[in-house]
Amino acid sequence: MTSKARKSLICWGALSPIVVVILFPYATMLSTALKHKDEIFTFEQTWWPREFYLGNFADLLFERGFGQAIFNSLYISVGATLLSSAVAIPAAYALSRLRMPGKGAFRNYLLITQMISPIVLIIGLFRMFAYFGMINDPHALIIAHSAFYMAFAVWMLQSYFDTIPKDLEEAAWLDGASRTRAFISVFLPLCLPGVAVTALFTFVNSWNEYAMSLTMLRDASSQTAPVKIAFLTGTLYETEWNIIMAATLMATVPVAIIFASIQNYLVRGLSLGGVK
Amino acid sequence: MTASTTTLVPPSPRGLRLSKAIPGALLLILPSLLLSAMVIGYPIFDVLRMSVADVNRFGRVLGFAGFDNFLAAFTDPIFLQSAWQTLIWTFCVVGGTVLISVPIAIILNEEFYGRTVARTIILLPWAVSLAMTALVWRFVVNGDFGTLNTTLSALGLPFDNFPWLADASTAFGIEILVGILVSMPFTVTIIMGGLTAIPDTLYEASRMDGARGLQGFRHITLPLLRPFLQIAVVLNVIYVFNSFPIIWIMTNGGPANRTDILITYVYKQAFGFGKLGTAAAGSVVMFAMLLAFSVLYLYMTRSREVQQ
Amino acid sequence: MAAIEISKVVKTFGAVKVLDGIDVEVKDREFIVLVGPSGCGKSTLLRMIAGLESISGGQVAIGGRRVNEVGPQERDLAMVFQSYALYPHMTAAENMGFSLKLRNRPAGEVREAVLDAARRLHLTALLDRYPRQLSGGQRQRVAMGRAIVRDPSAFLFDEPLSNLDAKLRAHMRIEIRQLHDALGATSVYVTHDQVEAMTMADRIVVMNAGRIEQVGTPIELFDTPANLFVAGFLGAPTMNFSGGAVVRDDAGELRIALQVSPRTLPLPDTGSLDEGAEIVLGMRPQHIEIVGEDVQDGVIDAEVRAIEQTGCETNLIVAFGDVEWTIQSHHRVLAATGDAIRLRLDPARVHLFDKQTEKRL
Repeated sequence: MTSKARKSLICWGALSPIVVVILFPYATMLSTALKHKDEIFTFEQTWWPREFYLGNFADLLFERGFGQAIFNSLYISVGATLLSSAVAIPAAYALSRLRMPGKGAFRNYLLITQMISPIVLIIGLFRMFAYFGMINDPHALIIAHSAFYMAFAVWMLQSYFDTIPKDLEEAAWLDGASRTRAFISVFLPLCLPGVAVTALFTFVNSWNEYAMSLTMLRDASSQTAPVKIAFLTGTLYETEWNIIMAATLMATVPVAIIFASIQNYLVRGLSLGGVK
Repeated sequence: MTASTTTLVPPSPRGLRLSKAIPGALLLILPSLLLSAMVIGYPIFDVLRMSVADVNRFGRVLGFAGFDNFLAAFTDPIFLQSAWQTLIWTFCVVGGTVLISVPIAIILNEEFYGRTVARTIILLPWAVSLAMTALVWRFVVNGDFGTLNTTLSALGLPFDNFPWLADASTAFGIEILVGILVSMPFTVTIIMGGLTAIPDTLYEASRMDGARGLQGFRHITLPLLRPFLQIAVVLNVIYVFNSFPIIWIMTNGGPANRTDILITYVYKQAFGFGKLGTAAAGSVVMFAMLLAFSVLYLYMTRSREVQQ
Repeated sequence: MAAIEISKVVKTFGAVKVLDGIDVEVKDREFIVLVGPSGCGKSTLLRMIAGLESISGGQVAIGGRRVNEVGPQERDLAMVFQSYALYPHMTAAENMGFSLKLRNRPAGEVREAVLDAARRLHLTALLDRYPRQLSGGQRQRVAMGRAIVRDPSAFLFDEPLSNLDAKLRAHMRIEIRQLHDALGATSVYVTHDQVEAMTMADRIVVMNAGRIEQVGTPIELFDTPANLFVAGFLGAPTMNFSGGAVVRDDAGELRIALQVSPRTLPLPDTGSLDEGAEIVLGMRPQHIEIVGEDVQDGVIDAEVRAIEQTGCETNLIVAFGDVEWTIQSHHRVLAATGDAIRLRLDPARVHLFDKQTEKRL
């Protein structure tokens, strides 16, 4: 056995307990979501479903309005991603490239906003959006999510922008490109991967957010997926775990795939400057 | 040359003067400032105002109340109990997270077969909504139908129908474990960032100097990881202190408020009992505690920069 | 091509004055090298000419036109960056043609110009490669190509060879200078490498701490450095120095007494020195002769501390008192550490500086 193979065995062996604990809920989700309701409430529990039953998914989508919840989540997450990118990209560019007074103060300000939990402010937030008549309005959440996830986006973008040498834009200016032209022809193509990763990260955060959505969206038809799923447990006479697990699976797997695809960049982005 | 590392002057395309470009820079950060000032700034003001006001259950401010709301909170035994439980919760989750994250990050930093897969699995809990993680775990540890008891029984252990969440201490324990699980990916990521910043030549040099076994870890890894660990601890303290969904969904603070923390207490006061004033006062207390942490964080990053 | 006039230029960063009243006139078709230790302000000055740094005071004019308020886009200058600053998402050809494309030249014309520049720089085979597929030397050539593809008023070089290995650097020195002559260009070249300065420049501007120490041709600067800084900066190994004073000997003649040598040296004819004047004596390592015991006048007795043989020349580190000097000889010197050695200083090649003002006497 090569030394790398032996090392791999040791590494995987050391990681195995935590890997099991992480994957255990997924196995549970999958196993339960594919079971018929009757099979859950028996005292003879098995991992393997007696038959692969897809009725839970159909039930969710057609009977319980889960499709609407997925759509609400999508609408809010896409909106929050666009809005936070729209304000974070210029701010990150200014922090990375321009000389201006109060740069440090702005950075500290962002840091402090990141440390204030939305839940500490939830009463104030609720009252503010109620004042504007925006309870049950997905746009309230788009605004709130953008504001809370913007700071992280600015950090990630700035650390990415900082890796693009200033020389390149200077060379473009000397080649005769205007500031705007240099931004579009030279800067933008180079920072696109960073912008994409940041946007996906914001999307995932917004998709997963629970407390603000729970408070601001009181109406069943406006609820997002995580809130809807949590409500499924509380409102029914008996908790239909098969339905809930099917819903969790549907809301989790696509986002987990997005996240897995960007995690490498995330590690790099954070080690570059996110924790500075 | 030092000059080439200085910040750029924004040369404007049509020969504008520098002084005109500075408002341009401010214009770029203005949208972000406005957005966060509205969504974060105003609620801060509102919560502060309500904490010293007499507020009815519909949010109408009836008058000035001085410190009555704070008094009401501090004389409520459940508030004090929640505060104590918040400290236990934060300490256990953050401590546990850091303890397991360091070895995990070190392993993931090694070269081995399937490392990418391992990294993806370890970071997976980060991708999932806390609400859904909490929900799935609530089912996993369900006494009657949960897969945990199924599995433990299958292994021959006496956990048939053991009601994990019915007892306060096991419930809180499980919530802490779930808290550790979801805080771990972010922490591992930060520590991995710190590890990749340590050049291999340092370990080679320390071996030449006679370092053996774990001495390299003790004398090279830990000291150089320190700033990253500090940041991981402080950020985790803030996130965990504020963590709402795990406890809210798994036990709702029960049984008998034995798993309530400040954030669930505040939420119940506001949206359960309509005591907006008490809730606002509780928020202010939490806010003050967090501000202390924020200052600590800034202080720590500052001193790190000075060291460098 | 055009002349560049820099008059009374000042640069401040906050309260820090980085450049303090710089006057340089770059003539049309001249190759000017700005040289100095790191932090002296030479790159800042170059970036102010380029329009990448604002001008805090004074004036920069290109071809007779004041450009203080003109952006880098409109100054019609080409620059070769230390990092090369090649656009990573464009091929070598696209990098070189970018400036012409921005000027909306027809595609055929751009291609012709790029091919022409590529032929000059032997890049024809590499035009379709991206910067990451090129070696350091090839990238450097593409950066040069990007500069010469259009016909700018002047070329600016910011330490363009500092990332190359020694052999390639020596080769590129010659190539850049030949290119300059062939194009009839005006060039401003920043470097901290005195060999580049000496070999490439028509005139050298020596800078230190935000000021100009001396401007002149390489030979002028080498033979008659205006002050201690220039004397010590140019030349390798660096010039030897020793403090001393002017004294009158028994015969009533003025001579130099070095602080740590019992013998006096003849005073070169500078005309202005009087008895008691405090001076610093400078001597290039190449101008010190090793002589036998029989020579008595104008000599210093020293002890050999170290010997370096490079093959074509011998470097001796010698000491007298607490002064250490380097001597370079083109003969093989057979000496050993600890040997006593007698040195003769050629009076015609002695450099004398005022101890207070550090200016040449």
